[in-house]
Amino acid sequence: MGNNTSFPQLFPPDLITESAAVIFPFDNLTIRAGEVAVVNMTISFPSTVDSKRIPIISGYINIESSKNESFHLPYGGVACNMKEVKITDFDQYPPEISIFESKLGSNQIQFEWRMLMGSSIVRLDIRGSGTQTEAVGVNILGSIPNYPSYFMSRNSFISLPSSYTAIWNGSLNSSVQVPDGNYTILYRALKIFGDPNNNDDYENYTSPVIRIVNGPFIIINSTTSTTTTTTSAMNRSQHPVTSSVELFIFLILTLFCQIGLP
Amino acid sequence: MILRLGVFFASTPSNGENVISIGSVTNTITPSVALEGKFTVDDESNSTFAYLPARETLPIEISGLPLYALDFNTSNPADGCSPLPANTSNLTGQIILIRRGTCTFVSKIENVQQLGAKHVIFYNNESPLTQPLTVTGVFASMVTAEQGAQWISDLSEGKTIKLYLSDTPNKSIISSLNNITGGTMSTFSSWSPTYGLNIKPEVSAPGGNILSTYPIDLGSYAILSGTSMATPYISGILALYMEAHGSNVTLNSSILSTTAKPLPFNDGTQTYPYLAPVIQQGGGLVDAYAVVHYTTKINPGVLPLNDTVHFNQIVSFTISNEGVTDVFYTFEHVSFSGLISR
Repeated sequence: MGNNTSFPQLFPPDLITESAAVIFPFDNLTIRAGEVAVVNMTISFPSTVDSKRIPIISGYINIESSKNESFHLPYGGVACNMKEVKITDFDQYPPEISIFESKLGSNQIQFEWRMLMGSSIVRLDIRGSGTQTEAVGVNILGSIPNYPSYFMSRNSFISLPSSYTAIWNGSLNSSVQVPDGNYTILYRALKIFGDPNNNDDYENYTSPVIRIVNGPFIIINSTTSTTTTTTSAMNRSQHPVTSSVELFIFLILTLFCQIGLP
Repeated sequence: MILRLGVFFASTPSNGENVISIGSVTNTITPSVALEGKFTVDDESNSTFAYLPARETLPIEISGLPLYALDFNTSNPADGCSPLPANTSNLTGQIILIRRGTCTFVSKIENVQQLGAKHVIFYNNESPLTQPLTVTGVFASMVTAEQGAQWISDLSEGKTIKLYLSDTPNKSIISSLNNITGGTMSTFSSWSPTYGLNIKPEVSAPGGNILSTYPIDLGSYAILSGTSMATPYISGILALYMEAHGSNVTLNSSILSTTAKPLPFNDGTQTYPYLAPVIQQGGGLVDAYAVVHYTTKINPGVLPLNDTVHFNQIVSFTISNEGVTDVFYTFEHVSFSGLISR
């Protein structure tokens, strides 16, 4: 995939020639029987790497003993600021809502997004008029059931990139069904090493207005336009996407193949 | 079909802190669960051999059918790929011995089936052993290249080889060397770092093409691949460690990671002259002897350097000499080229 996409590369990722530099305080050391020594090394990351591509710098400290015991102490880190690494794919697959028609005849809201990196907290909050609760600096009515979701993995890219989907049927995680009115979904994903209590440390996206009329029926407000959503959904269907469920099935099949074809 | 999801895809739950994550190394040999048959040379010396029947073939009873080789040249890559000469005698009642290679199993079988053959044994070429395919009405099996060469040698000297197979055969294990990926990290093994920049796996163990026991109803033996095979290998080593040092010891994963042997990188098709990255193999292939016997302990077992914001230039580790003599240590930095994640 390389650097033309924001997804982490598939196996095997590209190599760069730069590596870490390590300075030992001494070249060798004698330790008496039963004693312990502390070794303070100085390590530096290479300075010429492209931090946007999240360079992973790793290696081993090789320790040889006069008893012919050989040790390899692995080290590794990334030469960039992980908090600046994009979690949500706003460019190639921006978060989007669409109407999901269920087989039972009721329609629901489908919220879809793709994660390029994992996040320890993903919030899907409902905003609108009604009794407000504060959630990380924002007034909300509640969350979509099963949210916030913790420790979500990045989406994967095998033959096709996958994405996440949440369905909202108008109820909140408090089991309260919201009355007719106008609502928005506020998506927030905590950045890596972000402070979970600081709203600035989340990536966020606010959906177009969702209007609920006559109880369970949910319609996307025409001012942000149903047409727009529909068109967009059609565009999206032109490059098919594996859902999490499909990915799961794929993983199972893959496992099966591993077992079946040793 | 393999998982190659790339970096930043360490699996739950082994990506947790204080949980030992185990990577998978591919077996240096590729075992196969085969069946056992018997053969005689000039009606003497009843010996056993192992054969892998075609998937769609049920075990059959054969009592003393002679082997017939199409060609005594064991290096003919296209043995059996051409229709046989019209004057070839009828092959019914013989077992046709054909070298694997060039054209498909089915093409070779169809060429001898034209002359009435109902039994075919392929002997392997340089590829890993596999179950052959066959067509309806023809019993087909595979034997090792070595077994094939031995039979061809005897047949070329004019000896008669007869095979005896049972329809309730014993199991037999046959193996071929894996010179392509053996002894390197399995390509399905997950790569870290975790999103919190911990390094996983800590250590790796044999997990690709592993022979073990299996539910009796499912054949008693199986060859499976996955870190589900590598992890019990480490459990076994921990049992050895407890046997040697007492069951009340707490085993720190640093013993596993620092005594392991880093492996060269392999991409599934070839091995490269540089090491596999730490985020793929951890310390490398576990060394059971070193885990149990080494008297020096290094702590911690991995050094996560974190990112540029949390980076600390001074990184410390301790060396404990738990032996009874003074020990002299030397240090060396084994650098690895950087990897780019996206």
